[in-house]
Amino acid sequence: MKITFDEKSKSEVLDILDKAVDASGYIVEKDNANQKVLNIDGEEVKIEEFAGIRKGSEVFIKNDLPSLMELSKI
Amino acid sequence: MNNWFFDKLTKLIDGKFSFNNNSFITINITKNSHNSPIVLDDKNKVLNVDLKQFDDKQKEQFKEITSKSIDEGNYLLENNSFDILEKLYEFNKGNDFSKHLSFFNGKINDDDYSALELSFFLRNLMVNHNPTNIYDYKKNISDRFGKRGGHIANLCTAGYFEELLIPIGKTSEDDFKYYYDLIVKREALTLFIHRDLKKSEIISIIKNKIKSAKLYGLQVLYIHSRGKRNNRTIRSCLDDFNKNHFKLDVGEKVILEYDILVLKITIK
Repeated sequence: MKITFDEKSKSEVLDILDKAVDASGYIVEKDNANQKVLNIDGEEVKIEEFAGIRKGSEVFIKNDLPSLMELSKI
Repeated sequence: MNNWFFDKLTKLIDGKFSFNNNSFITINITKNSHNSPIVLDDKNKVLNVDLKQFDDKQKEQFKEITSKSIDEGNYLLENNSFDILEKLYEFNKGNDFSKHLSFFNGKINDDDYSALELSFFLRNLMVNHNPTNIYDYKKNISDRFGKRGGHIANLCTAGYFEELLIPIGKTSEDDFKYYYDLIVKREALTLFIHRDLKKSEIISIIKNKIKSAKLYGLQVLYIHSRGKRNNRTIRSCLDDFNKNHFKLDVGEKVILEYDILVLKITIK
């Protein structure tokens, strides 16, 4: 089974994950705007880079090709 | 197969739908213009879910079942990324470029190998799917692996790895190391034209590369260009070069299908 979302639903998806977007476009915790979410490499994630999440619900995935290649090998 | 997910989803919308659990394999979160938060797409086997049409309680319940599904190993992914991920899975199983890539495993550093692997994936994508955003993906490679990664992507697309470096590598390990350094690290054999290069910069680069090529004992310089604008620019640069510096011995190859121009400058 796949769970997907389209580009225009990103904000709604982040909302159900209890995340928000700060003024600089970074994805942050809804209850703590100073806490940015991180990808598996410890990098902060901007909304335009946001591809999704995987197991643990806290591992954010970026949409660039190297990140997706790494994901494909897990 | 994920029966519990569909049971919970049915209850969430008061059981107004009945699902054949094996029929629908994608839950797609999207906005829809229907009056229902969940719309069936029979043809594509998709359940389209519009979160904006859920009330707070339904959102909370959807969040719970989605979180549980993700914890079980399912991904929540944006559509384009999912599409690329599936293509990556296929690529990783084996493809027309696998034997070329495997030759370089252990022969080049890890970053170069990763950049090369991504570059062969892009080539595979171009051949089989002809995507419109290939330049974005190439930029992803140079963003991650720097100018060298971007150069590897260009060399790979143009066939240098299998047509030049592999034959050299099969003949002599020392020659491979020497030419790999020259072609990949020093960029001595090629110039790839892109839209951000000004004419004056191109002319200066050509001058410097010809000078370097003589030092390294190379007898050719290849200039690669793609697209009408870039092709016009490089032709204009060569005209200027011939008028203002010295006459170049230029041979050309045009690949009409992809609007590609390859110029071979013979260095005397």
